[in-house]
Amino acid sequence: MHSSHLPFWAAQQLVIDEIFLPILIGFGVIFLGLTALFIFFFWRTHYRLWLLGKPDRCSDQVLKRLKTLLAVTFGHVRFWKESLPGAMHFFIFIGTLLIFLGKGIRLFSFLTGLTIPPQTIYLVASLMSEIGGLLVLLGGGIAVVRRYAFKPSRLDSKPDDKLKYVLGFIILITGYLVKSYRMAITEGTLPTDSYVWAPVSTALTNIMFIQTSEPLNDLLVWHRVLIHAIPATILVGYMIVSHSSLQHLFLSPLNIYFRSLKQKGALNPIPNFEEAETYGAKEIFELTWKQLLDLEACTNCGRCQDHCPAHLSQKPLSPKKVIQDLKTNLHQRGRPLLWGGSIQKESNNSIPGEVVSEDSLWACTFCLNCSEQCPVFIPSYDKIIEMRRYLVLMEARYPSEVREVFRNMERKSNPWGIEKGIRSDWAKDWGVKTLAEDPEVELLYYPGCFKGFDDRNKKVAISMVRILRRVGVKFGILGTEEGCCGDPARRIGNEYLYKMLAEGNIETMKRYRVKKILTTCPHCYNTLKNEYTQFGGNFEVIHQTEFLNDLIQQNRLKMREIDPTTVAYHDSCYLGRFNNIYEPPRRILSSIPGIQLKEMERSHHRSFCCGGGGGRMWMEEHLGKKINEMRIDQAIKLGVHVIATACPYCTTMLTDGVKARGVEEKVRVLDISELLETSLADEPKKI
Amino acid sequence: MAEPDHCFICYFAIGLLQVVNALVSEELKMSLRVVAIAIEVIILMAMIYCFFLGLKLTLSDLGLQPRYDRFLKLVLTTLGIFILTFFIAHLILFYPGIIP
Amino acid sequence: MQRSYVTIEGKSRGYYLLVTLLGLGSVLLLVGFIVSYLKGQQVWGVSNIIPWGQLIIFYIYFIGLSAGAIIISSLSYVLKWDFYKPITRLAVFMGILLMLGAMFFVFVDLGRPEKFWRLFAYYFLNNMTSMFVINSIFYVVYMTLMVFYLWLIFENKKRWAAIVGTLDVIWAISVHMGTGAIFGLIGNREIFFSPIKPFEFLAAALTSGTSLIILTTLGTFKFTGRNIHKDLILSLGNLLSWLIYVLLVLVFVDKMTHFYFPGRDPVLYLFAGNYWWLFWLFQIGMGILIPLCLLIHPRTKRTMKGVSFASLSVMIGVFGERAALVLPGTAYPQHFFPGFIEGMWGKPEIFPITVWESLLCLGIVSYIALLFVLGLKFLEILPAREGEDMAALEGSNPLLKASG
Repeated sequence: MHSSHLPFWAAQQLVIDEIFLPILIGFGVIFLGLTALFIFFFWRTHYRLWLLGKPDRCSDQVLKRLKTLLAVTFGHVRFWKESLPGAMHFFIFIGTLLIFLGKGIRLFSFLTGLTIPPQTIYLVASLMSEIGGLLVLLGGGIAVVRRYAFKPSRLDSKPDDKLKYVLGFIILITGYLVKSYRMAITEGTLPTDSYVWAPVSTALTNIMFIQTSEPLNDLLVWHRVLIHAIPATILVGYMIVSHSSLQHLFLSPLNIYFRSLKQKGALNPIPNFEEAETYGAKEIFELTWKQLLDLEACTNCGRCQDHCPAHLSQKPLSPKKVIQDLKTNLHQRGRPLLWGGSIQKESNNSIPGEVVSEDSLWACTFCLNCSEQCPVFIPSYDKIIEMRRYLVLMEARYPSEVREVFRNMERKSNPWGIEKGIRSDWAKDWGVKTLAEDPEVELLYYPGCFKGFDDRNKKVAISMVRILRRVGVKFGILGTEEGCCGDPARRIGNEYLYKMLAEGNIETMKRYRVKKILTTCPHCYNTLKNEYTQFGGNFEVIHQTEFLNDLIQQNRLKMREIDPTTVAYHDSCYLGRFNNIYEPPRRILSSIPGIQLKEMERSHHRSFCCGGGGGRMWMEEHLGKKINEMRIDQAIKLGVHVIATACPYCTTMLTDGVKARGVEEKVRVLDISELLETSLADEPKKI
Repeated sequence: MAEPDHCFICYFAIGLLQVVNALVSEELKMSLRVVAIAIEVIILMAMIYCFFLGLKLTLSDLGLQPRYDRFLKLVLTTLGIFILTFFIAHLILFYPGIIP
Repeated sequence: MQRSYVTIEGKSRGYYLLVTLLGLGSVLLLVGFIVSYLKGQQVWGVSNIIPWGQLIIFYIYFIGLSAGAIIISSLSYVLKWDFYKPITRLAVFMGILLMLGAMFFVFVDLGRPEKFWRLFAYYFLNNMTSMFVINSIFYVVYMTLMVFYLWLIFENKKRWAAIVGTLDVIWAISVHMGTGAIFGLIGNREIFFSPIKPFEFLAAALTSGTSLIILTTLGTFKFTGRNIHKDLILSLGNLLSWLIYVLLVLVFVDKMTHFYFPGRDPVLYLFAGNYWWLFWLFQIGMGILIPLCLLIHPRTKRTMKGVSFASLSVMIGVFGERAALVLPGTAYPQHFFPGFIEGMWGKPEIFPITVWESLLCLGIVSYIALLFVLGLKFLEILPAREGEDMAALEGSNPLLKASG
């Protein structure tokens, strides 16, 4: 008996019994089947693979992890760094969420009595699905146009992408068709069948002109249901079984949850250094399980590549490619597991050199821009460092110019090989005492190698000393007992040398009972603060910018106006992205009367590296364009007089870049302390 | 048809459709049927395409060597052509008539 | 000796011409299908007297060819006679394609192919005494086994290939005997009804399968400029002759027993009715006598030409045998259920050859041949061309020894 001939609620009950209930049962069966399939394949193709990696502790601080997970998932916090892709993904995500919520509520409404009589929540659920579908169509449309019409360079399309877009569109379109056909044959007798609660489907019912004699109507509805249910099942089944990018739906949240909560940029030491038989990673399974999860969670979005200075300067390195190539290797090596076999732990295929080229590995400046941009918190630098460690410590394969640097650091405790006896000569003219001469100080000033040996940077140390004297802080230096902090060695991969240097420094500092350290070099700052703790060195470390900013806030420094100067601050990677110090240097500059602060296009967390990090200061740049010159071009475009820095590496690299570009007359590179010091003079000094 | 719910757009749409219905000939209804069948075939073939592509990608992920790819693609393409032929025949025969 | 298998280049004019022709032939399948689907089975030669026509003849023929090809392929991997290794991949590949072809014939014969799912949804486990249900299980597993078997061969997993190959051979025997049982268990069709039918089918499958392997090997190797060792063909010819003996015995016994209870009229109809020529000229003449003569006579049995003609004769003869089963088998009026067929559609006892049915059959055969030809280009089926010296292989040719 057709529903139109029955009273309203009886008609509704008939629809539920004949259409709804079978769908519910069918859905239940399929859902259980897919869940079982998911659990099986997750265990077989992912979990067992990750367990082959080395152990890692990533499950502490549950609340903090959950908070980030929720913020990223629902707030899309990192996605919005780029508005179009961010909006696109947000629409797709929210739309899908609304569809599922709406469907779920209506699917289970029969069991919970929400339909009879139709409660508001049931009506709202209907609207949610409709709006959700529209949002997904919108987001999906943007995605397709962006990927296939505009073809941004960071996106390489694979057949998998085509499949998910086509199938996604079909599922959405047929979903609306199912509802509009159902509405047509029930002649709109359900309360949700109106423009208020089902706008799209109702419009489709009016526009779709495919109804005829009664006997065919129900059959057509079933056809439509199948055409909707089958692709939906195919999509979910495909996602479960295949290494599709759709798997990011569960892999990315896992990766976000288990991300490292340690200080950004603080590299992990090699555990049991003395007893270890191998160092670094030659095989894919020598990475930790979390690193293997990183590889699988990558969605190939390319944000990392778009911000990598090495890639943008046409070096062979692409962080995305590193991750994807390692992932391919992982899947190839892991395949025997799928079929009940075991993996050969040793293979002829080594990841550094064969899977990831050596040129790529050495091109990395460790600026952390890649992991900063990654929406799912995948670091590529930790894999690169493991591969570098293997090459350096196991095979002694590294750029030839680095050999000398290692030797110099080992013997003379500085990368240039200059006699360490003259390390603190710059301080003698200023009467700066060493801790050996006077250990009772408020803080240790740790200038680092650049300030000790590089003429250009000695001026920065001197500025700092003058400021310290001006505010009456009692400080000392280690003098010739100061050793290189070891950062270049660690970044290049020579963990043994780094350990030796770090332990030497820590022993010296502990001997003098050092509690607080001031440094003017962000590289030293990062390693002293975040990495020396790994070897028992727990000190309070502050960078000059933090220190000077505090002094300014406390009104302990009186500034005079200087000649009007436009200044752009270049964020040092080791200060900014590594340690989140973005504002103090800007506040310092803003507080100097006469300075007009401008921001380069790539600033703050998107700042462009000077090219000196990751040990690259000590390597020749054979391939591609020069990174430092590219940064100078960005500054020239802005039209500033001065590029302010807070890092000796940046100062050196950018100064070289200015010279290479021949723009010494137009723009100068100055350290923040130098700028500040000029405005502190009794008479205003010309810059 | 659902109650317009005092919606301006639907009054307009219904009116338009009534006008169209009065004017439209049987021939036009037939050609509308052809259009509807074509849309249906496109949707169905897109599904088949996705199913076959998914099958091929899944087999690759499960370990099928790349050297089989070309032949597999060939077989699936020819099967797709047969399925297309079937859909065309089936829909021509069974697709209901159009009532705008 | 480690043999290497290669793809063919497939760039010659002859190759492109062949592919084009077969492609056009496959298009005929599409055309024939659309017409048949829209107009209905009335455009075929079938009627409510003879419900099974060309498509079913081809279907059982192809299943037989497939099973035969697989059993021949077992000579190398299962019986471990390396002498036959050069043709193993070819045989298994053909087995798969022929089975695919058989399934195509069945699908199309359904009239409404989209209803195939009902067999699995409604009748599986509900009607297990139906030979169709049993055979559908056989066919699905058979197809899976064959694909798996070929994949193992391609991957050089010899041990597993031997295991799966053994299973596949046993299953192939079951498949074709099962197909024979479809006919053999139908009590009211006296010409079908016989417990020997499965064995007869198997024997015919082996003879036709062996013949097809011989002809395809000769044709493919010649067309691709490969040397084919005479002994390989002669040994298969020798095998063929023994298989024909077996077939002869089975046909003889089957027909003899039909002369007895319940009555001899049906078998007399087969011998002397409308379709006598299918039985005598094709099944007996071309399928048994002529090839046996060629394979026994000292002048022809040791020549490649003699073996090829014998094989060709068997191929045609066995096709005729299938037709001789289906057509007279269904044409013979049924005595057991008088009055249940209300009126006749079409001329009684006559099966017309219609255009659309023939096009469908030609189309499917072309498609399978096309897949075979393209498979040679994209898969490593054939042994490498240069320096193949069969005499250098380990082990002698056991089949030639047996003939003396």
